Amino acid sequence: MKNKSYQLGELEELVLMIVAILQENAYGVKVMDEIMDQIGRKVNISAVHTVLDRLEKKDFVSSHMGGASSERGGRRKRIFKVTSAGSKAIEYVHQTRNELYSKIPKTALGFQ
Amino acid sequence: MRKKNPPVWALGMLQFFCKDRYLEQIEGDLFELFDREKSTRMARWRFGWNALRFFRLRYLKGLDDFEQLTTLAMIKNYLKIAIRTLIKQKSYAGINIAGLAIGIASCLLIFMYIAHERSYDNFYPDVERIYRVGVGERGAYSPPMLAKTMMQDLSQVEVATRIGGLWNTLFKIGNRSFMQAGAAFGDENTFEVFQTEFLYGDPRTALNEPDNIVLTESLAQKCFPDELAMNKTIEIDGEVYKVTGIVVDPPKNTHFPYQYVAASLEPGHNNWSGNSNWTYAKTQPGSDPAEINVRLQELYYKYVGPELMSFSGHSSFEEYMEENPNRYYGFSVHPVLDIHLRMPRLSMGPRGDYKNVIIFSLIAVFILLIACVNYINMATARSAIRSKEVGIRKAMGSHRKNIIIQFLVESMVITLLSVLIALIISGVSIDYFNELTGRQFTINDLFTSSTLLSIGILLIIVGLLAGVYPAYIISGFSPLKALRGQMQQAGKKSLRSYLVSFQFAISIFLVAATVVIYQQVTFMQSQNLGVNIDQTLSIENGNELGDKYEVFKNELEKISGVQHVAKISNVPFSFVGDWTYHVVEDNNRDIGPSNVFTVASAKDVLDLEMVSGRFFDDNRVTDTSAVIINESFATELGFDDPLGKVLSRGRGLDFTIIGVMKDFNYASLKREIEPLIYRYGNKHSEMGMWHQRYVIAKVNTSDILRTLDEIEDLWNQHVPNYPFDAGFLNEYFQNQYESERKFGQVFTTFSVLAILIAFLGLFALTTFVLQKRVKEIAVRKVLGASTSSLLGLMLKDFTRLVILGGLVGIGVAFYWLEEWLKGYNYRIELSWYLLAIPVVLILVLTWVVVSLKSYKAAVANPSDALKEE
Repeated sequence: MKNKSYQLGELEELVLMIVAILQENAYGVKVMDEIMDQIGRKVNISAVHTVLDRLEKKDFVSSHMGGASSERGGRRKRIFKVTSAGSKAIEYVHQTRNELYSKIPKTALGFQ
Repeated sequence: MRKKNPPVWALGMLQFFCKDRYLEQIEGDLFELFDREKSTRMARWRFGWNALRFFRLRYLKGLDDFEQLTTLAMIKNYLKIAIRTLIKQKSYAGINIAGLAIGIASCLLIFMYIAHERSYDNFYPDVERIYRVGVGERGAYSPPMLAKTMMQDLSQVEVATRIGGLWNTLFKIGNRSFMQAGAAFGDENTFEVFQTEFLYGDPRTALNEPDNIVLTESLAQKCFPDELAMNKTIEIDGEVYKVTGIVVDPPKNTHFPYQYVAASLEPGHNNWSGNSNWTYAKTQPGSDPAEINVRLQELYYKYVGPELMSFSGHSSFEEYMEENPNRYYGFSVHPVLDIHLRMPRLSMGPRGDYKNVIIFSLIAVFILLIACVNYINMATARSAIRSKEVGIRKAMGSHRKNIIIQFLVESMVITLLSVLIALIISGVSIDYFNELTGRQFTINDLFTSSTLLSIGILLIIVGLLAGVYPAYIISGFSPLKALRGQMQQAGKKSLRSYLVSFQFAISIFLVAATVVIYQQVTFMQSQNLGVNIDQTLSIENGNELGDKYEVFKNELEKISGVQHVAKISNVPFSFVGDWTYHVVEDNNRDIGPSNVFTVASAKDVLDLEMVSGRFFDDNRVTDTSAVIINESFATELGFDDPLGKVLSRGRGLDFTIIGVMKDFNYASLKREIEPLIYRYGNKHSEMGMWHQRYVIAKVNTSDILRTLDEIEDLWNQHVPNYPFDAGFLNEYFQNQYESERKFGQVFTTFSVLAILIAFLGLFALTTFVLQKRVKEIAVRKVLGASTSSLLGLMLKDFTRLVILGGLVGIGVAFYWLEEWLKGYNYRIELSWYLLAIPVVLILVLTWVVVSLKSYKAAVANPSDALKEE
């Protein structure tokens, strides 16, 4: 019944989990790097930004501007963190995937 | 470690399109990635690429990212105020809009006309490479061999064709027959030069055989309504043709509006003397027309020279040319694109006139200016009413700039309304406009992309032209004075006066031009031509009678009312070709008179007067080698007594002069009477049966319709297979002045419009002036002024303006009309009263308008005006 509000795209799901992993340290480039490190997938920075914005609009993450530094051409970072709705979404996704996985007949996987 | 900076263009672009909210984080990430890269080049490249990738809808700046939200709101407010003002001042708005709408409609129609005139023939592929080959300065026709020879001898010529036309011919299909206009003949290259879309048939082979014919779609429809016309046969003037192609109809804007093109016989191989074809050549890309002209001159020496020498007996053509430097009639090329406007005499279709295009444009601009002046005058005159509004706006913080924008918006709204009404006016008056211009526009032509573009441009120009000055003046009001209730009269009264004078000047100029043009046309029509063309019937296609002419003539003379009958190759005021004659007594001279064949009775039909010698005598066999010349020819010959002198066509064709006719006008009165030669016409003469192309008859009867019916019956008895076609010479004569009459109509129309708009403005201005002076008039009246002296007071101002405008308008008109009249050999002289008429007319109209308005104020009870306050 609440499925609808938890609907996430594949990349959205991935980025949401990465933000959760990075805890207080998630911003554009870092998320991109983490995706590369964790699962070896190359994502363009603009795509990462777009997905983060979309997640924020769906209230799964929240953001604030970080402190200024001389790095990054003097530009501040936007730091993202997972909201409670976001946690629930991760929970939900994890649960449904597990349920579905458990329902796959063992034979279907075993002889592949 | 300090690296080079990221590319400036990428940062700039990002800052340009990206929403400010996102900009910092994106830039930050891009910088971080940039710093990470080892090679500077790679880093810069990546930076740019990534920045580009952020060009997504999500990050693009939207309307709400611009700060000028208030501007939009203000413009909305200006629009609202503009519409309210319009509604509040209905009569003024109405006069403004009516004037502007008429002006814009004139402009619109004229734009359409100009765009059409300039578009002639530009639809042909490679048209800039297509040239018409003419002979000398005036020859439109060229020898039949020219096209083929050009293709062989001139490397610059890609393909050339010869075309004949356009004529009327008799079509016979089964047992149906009808006259068909738009007949042309061509050769196998015609559609290579003029590439045309073929619906059926092959453009390369369609005219290869002498019996081939290519029809236009509409003619094919007309000939074979329910079946495919391809491979059908048609009998045209007795020859049988087979349809080998069907092309789309040529558009309206072409100088070659054919209905069909028939293949023609191969020209005789040494036929260089007769000029009977139109020759067109498509040149190789990049070839220079000047160079082609040089090569054409060589060609002329090689082929035409020997023929000319057969008359003159010179040993070489160079020698001939040396002694006759003025006789060079070499070939030269003219761009097809120039034919319609610059060389209309070369056109087979509607003829344009470059000067008309310019004059039309000027008139359109004038009318628009008059309408704009109305707007300016009324807006500044009535500005006092708006002064409180401006004062309050300024007190509330409006800058002068804002107020200017407000008043410009207002003038734009009025212009927009005018444009909409102008579209309706143009749509309604398009038939009348077609009559004026001799073109066939439809309402659809008003909505082509080019006219729509010009509407847009007009909207902006007129809106600014009319709005800028009043906006500038009104925005200069002092808010303090405005709010204290002090009336502020914007703009100088003198400027308004000059503008009104300017309107009068334009109106007076247009009326003067109209009067003079009509005087000139009437003058030309009433000229003593030296030839009597009254009641002279001309029956065309006399050559179809063949040998039956004598019988036809005898029976025609028996019809009551028919007095004299003759045959002639060219009637006066139709096209006459000039042939070259060699003066035998004076070895080195050639003269090219207009050449006409006729018989003895022509003297009676046309009332020709002889100066010396005699006219032809049908009973003298030797008259076949006799000629009669006109006085102008005799003068050019220069002999004391031209009678008995011999003229030669070469090859032993010699003619003795037996008489000199009094000069008479046989062509337009625009030109002087040129040398004319009459030769005796019979079927053995050089023109064959064409010597009797026209049968002319003096018809004197009270019941012209019955006589005409009888003549037609007679014709049908003798020539059952060719329709009867006849007209009166008077009509041919009148038709020559068609273009002048149209010209006159154009001026009449536009002067009426100009006067209408100017007087609308005058009316409104008078009303306003009276309103302002109502107290003054009342006080004067109380102190004993009479009604007439009060009227005089009002009239005095406007009379001064009319006279001032009249001086300018008449000055310009005098100068221009004098130039125009120089184009006519028979012309009126400009006299003071011709030019005074317009001033008087405008003056009287002004008095009428002003008095009508003022009278009410002058007879009103002064206490009504004074009791307020």
